[in-house]
Amino acid sequence: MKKLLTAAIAASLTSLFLAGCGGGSKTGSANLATENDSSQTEVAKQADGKQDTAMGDLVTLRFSWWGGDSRHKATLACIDAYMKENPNIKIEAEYGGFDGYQDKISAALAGGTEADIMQLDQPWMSTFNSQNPDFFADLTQFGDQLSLEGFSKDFLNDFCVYNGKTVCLPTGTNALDFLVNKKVLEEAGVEFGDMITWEDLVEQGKKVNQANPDNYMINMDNGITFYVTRIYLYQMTGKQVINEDYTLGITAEDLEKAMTYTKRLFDEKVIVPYEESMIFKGAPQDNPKWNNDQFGSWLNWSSTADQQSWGANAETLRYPTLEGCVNSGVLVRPSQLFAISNNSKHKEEAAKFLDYMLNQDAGILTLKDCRSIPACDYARSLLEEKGLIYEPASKAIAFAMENPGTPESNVTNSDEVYDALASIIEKLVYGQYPDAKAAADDAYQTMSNMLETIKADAQ
Amino acid sequence: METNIKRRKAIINWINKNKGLFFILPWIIGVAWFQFYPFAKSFIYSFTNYTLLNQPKFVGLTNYIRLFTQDMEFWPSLRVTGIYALVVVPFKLAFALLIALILNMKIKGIGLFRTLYYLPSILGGSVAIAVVWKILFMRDGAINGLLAYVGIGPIDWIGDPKTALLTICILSIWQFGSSMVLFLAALKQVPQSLYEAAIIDGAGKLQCFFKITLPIITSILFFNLIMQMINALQEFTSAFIITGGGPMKSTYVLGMKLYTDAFKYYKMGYASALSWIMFFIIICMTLLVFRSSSAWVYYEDGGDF
Amino acid sequence: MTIQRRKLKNKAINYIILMAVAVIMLYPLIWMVFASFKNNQEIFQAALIPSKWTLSGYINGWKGSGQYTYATFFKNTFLMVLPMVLFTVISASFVAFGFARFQFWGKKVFFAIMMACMMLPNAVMIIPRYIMFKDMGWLNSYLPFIIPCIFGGGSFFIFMFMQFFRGIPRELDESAYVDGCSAFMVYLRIVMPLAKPAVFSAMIFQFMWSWNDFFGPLLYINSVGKYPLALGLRMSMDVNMSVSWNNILAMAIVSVLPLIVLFFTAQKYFVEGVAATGIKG
Repeated sequence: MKKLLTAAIAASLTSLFLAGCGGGSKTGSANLATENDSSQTEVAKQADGKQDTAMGDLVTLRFSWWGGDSRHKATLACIDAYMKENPNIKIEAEYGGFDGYQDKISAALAGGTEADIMQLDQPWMSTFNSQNPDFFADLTQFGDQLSLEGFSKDFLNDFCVYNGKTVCLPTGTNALDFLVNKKVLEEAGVEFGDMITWEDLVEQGKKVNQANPDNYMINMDNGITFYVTRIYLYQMTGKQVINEDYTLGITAEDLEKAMTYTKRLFDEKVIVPYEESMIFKGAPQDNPKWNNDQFGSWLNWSSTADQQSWGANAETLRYPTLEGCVNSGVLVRPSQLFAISNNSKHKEEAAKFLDYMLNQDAGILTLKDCRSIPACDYARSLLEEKGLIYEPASKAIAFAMENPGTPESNVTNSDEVYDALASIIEKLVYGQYPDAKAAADDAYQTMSNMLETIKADAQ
Repeated sequence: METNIKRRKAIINWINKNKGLFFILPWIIGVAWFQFYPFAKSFIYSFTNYTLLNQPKFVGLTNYIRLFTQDMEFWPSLRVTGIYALVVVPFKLAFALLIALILNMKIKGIGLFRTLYYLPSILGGSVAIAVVWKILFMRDGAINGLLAYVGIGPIDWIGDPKTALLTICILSIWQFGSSMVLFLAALKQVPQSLYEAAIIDGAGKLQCFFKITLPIITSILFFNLIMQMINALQEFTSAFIITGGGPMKSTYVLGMKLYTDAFKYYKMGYASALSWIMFFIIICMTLLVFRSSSAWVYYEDGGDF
Repeated sequence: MTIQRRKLKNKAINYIILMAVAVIMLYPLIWMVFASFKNNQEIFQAALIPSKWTLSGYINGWKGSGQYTYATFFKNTFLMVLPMVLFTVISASFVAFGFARFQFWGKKVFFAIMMACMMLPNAVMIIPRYIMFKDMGWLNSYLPFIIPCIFGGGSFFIFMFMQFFRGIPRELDESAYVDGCSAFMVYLRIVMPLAKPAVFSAMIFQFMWSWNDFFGPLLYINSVGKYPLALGLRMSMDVNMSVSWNNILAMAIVSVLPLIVLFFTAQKYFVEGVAATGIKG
């Protein structure tokens, strides 16, 4: 027993030592020179990974992103290639899945420990930039290292310019995509014309379930609130759901119409019922029926278009629209964004790396479309030439660009308010309201109240 | 000179009398550093509108008032948490004690059984278990498959608001292992001689249990009760992973609301207020149990505290 | 029925109950083990036993993703957890001894504070803690986990040791004092050996909780190379493409094995170890 105890103490002290030191050193890096020369404070600062060393031009950049395996592999390969070309640069990769990423970034920004280069999601930008306009560096100041030529000015203005600064660059383009599984549709006798209305979606879509009670036309969790209800509202009214001044841009009557339609999808069994989709909330593609050809379609962003194994059966059709709609509602937005932290000690080097990834052949061809169709014209044509683009995704973008919907305003991305709306729609579908009007009135009231509170807080 | 010696004596005397203080010194430091400081900060935050990315601004009691009067989700969440705790704690303790009693007998292979029963708890709130639970309780999952043998129709365990909470409760109760282990240890401390004496006096099994076993293990029962209650009231992980609070917020426990308000909506000030309300509830419940403990808890060391 | 027979019958009944309950309890885990040997398609099918046994879940799962295999994740988890367990046991028992055996100035107040700490929802202290750790340069290391264990190890363990200590009669202490032992020696030589069950319980619990901790590492650990198993597992799961469930289940089982082994070996001590204490009678 004593021996065990002594051994245990020895082991723990060793690991404590290692663990404590581990905070200061780079993972498996060969920065022996710097570590030997560093003083205590240097070692502590190195924990942030941003301190320039006294020896030579050695630069360390921290680069954080989210994604799946394929994106990780491609990005890591890109990093390796860049480091080979630039031996004085070391890029530390920090990557993981999407879940929890936003929390991590927010906490990091709040604590000042964010990475030098960050991948961000467009809906977050309004929050971040309104709270602190100086989180991110203005990318126009790196004219020598990073070219912004290839990006559409309008696109940048709509999504990347905040408080007059260009704080981020789009890594790729995303558009709303109505992706169908041709096999399922054929077997159920579903036919769509070139222009598809929401009516068509119901009339044709319900055939899938009629053909086989286990199958459904649409696979979606309560993301339906966005991809159907909000887009429907948008097309119908042409107005933002939430205005810049924290008032609701739509009326209770508008809500009623949109919610009535949404409920129809459930009532007529066009969409998989909540009881079933609930289990796969947040990841509808985990439902085994998905790969089993039991779902007919997928309404989502084009960047998710390749997340199925339908092979040649996958096809993009035009996103459903409303007859006589005011706005096409087919949103186009950056798939992700890259930004440089304003706290970074090596902004120029970071900008250079961004240029490598977005503008230069080597970077473009390594990354391919792991972040969706590139937003930079040059990159896109390069990939198209080489046939490296997923066709249904690019088709969705082509459709959308014909008549893109107006981008959503900053304030509309208020999670809390939309969650409230989603909750009420859920209740409506479960039959907790006598009719859609009651639900719509409730939604209108609740959302207005919430907005008032948010507005008061933002003063 | 005299006073110096007197003073030294007085100090040494005081040190001797308060030896205990030195034993708990490490804890005092730890508490001040890792608990008090964040604790105080969070208290301050609860009176501000801190959203993590802005500078906190004092707003008085607004957060608390909003929680009680304007927040659509607070009271339902409170109710859900209460039901959850009321179901989980008694059942968990009951199972734990029952199994511990059975395992306490000298049975061959007892070590194996102990491990088997404890296994579910070991996996804890891990992601993998949540996935398994989901798949098992799906409409065409194994649980419904088994029920079909007894003729009970497929139940939408997770999708149906009426049963979703039950699913979470079952997951929690399933992990009664930690309480069981503590009960086992306590049972071992009951002197065999007492049983022998009782049997000689003609006591039956049940009498032995109620008059000997139960009273002696009350200190551990007390501990288990408190810990399980505190944990249940703060439950988060299983609800988060399996149902995400739904359907229709039927599993939206306070722990989830706290997490969502703090880390999804970034209303740190507001969430801090919520956490303080939870804290208050927990303190009240604990005080109640403590108060009653003098009536039913037995301490081997004389009970003087 | 003879006494022999009755004893046998009782034993049999006990066994049957134990087995039955065990099977019910363990069905999810049994399912999980079998599923880890299936290939991905089969997982959602009704059959319990795989039609074709395959190790692909384990082999592919171990490879992890990106640059790191599960070997790294294992190593990291040990690096993080072992010191935590050691320091918790030492520190918590030390502090509990103070509470359980002594009267001292401010005791009631301190005790009340200790109990109160157990009840504070963790989520609330996360942000202030995060900022504090960042200011001290402890981020992306295991220090935020280990150092707090040195200072008391948490109210739960202190309380647990306390309750166990209180089950040990004071007469033992007193006779030791009479023999000239110091308080520390009483702690080390008299009370601690008798508290073996508590020691092992504390070790097991702390090991288990730290091993499974997900949210802490999520906040404090940035680089994949330092991910403990919980984060590694989660990372494998939460991808955009379809998930290979069999990989995840296989790795989940592998990651839980040390816990099972630990419990199985240690539990012999902590439940039966009290036998030769000499208190009885």
